Amino acid sequence: MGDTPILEISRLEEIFEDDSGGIADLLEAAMGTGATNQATLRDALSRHVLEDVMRAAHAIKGSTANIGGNEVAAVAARIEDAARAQTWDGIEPAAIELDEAYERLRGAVRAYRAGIS
Amino acid sequence: MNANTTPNKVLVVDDVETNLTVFAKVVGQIPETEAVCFTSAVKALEWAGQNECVLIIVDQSMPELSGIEFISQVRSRGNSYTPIVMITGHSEKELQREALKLGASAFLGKPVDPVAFVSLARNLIQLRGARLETMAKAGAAHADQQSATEALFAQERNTLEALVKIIDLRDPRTGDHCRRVALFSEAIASKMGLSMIEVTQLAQAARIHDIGKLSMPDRVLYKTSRLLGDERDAAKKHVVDGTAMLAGFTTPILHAAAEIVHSHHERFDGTGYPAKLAGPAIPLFARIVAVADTFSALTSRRPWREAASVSIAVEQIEKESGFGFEPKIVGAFRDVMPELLDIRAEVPDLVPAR
Repeated sequence: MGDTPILEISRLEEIFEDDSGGIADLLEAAMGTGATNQATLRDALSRHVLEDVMRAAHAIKGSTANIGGNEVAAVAARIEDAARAQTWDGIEPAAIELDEAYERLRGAVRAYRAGIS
Repeated sequence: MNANTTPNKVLVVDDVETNLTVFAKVVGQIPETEAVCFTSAVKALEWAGQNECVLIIVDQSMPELSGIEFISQVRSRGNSYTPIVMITGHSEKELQREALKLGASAFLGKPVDPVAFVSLARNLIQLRGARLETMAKAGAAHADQQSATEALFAQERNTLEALVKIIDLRDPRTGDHCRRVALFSEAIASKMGLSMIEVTQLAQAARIHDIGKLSMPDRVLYKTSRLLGDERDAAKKHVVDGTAMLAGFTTPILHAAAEIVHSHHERFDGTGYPAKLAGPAIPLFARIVAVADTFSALTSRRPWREAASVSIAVEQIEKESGFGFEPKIVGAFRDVMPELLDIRAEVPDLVPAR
């Protein structure tokens, strides 16, 4: 885990204003999408297809950056960049790092929900 | 576009549902607007064809159509005045240049900053309003322009027929090949779900996809044995010569024809010619014609070789799926094979047997 925050909520607060329930719903929906995206990435890794790895990592980067899941987005960006450069160097360890970061993000989303109720 | 629909909609297209939720909220901060959201670019395109909107926001990476393809299709359907903002995580200059060429108005990187977005959106919407106001003030002049446009389209049809005739007179074999390729392309495009307008434009434009062969020396064009060395180079030049012949035409079919002429020998993996374009950078019509052209060429007899059987031609094209050709187009090509065989029977090869 680096210095990148696991969940940076200020942008969503600016957009959703006082609707913290709406933010929590969005975060939980994004975690659902995230699980699908993680499965897609794992599948691409198991098939060893760089093009699909790049696409899956790109989808994870976009959807998590959108909700302020900056740590996951940063790891996904590293995987995408490596795949775009046609190299497997660092992808496998980054994929493990990504799963760990996703777990932390899920924890942060749960904590956010608990904090508002 | 339908004039009687609400004018304050902002169309948002992104395949990720949660991204749309955020966009809907951000769009809600722009006065007198509401977001109309689609996760399917194809459905969004259909909606855009039937409804008026003040702004379009589109993501680049989507499964059915990329943002670039979406922009191209919106613009090719005659919507030139609705501003389009492309949202993308990509920062490649080439991608942005391509999108601008196709009619994008601006870019924003992900994640979108709400303040920057609202400011940009307001400006673009105001700009659109000013353009429409100017058009409305033009009044009678606009009506004149419409009839002038109709006259221009009639002229376009006449020009196209003249060009087809010239190809037929110079080389009937190329003329028949062009006819077959146009019909093959039409069948493939229909299967792919392109709109009726697009299918018609493609079918017309593909009729002159080899117009560049008009400038080939007789010794190359009519040669009855395999082309060698500099003859091959001269033959390859037909895409560049053809593009030059159609340069300056801005009406839809001839403009589409120019794109097809230029890019129908590009390969999906970027190893084709003349510009080594790859993937979606190759115009969609040219990607379709590339498959149709290859099928026609392979299954046609040449003075120096027999025609390949249909099964061998199909096998070769399938082998090139993802390399020479776009897989989605190869899939549609396979699906319409019975129709393609009927077309082959209707427009047979003219070259006599050896």
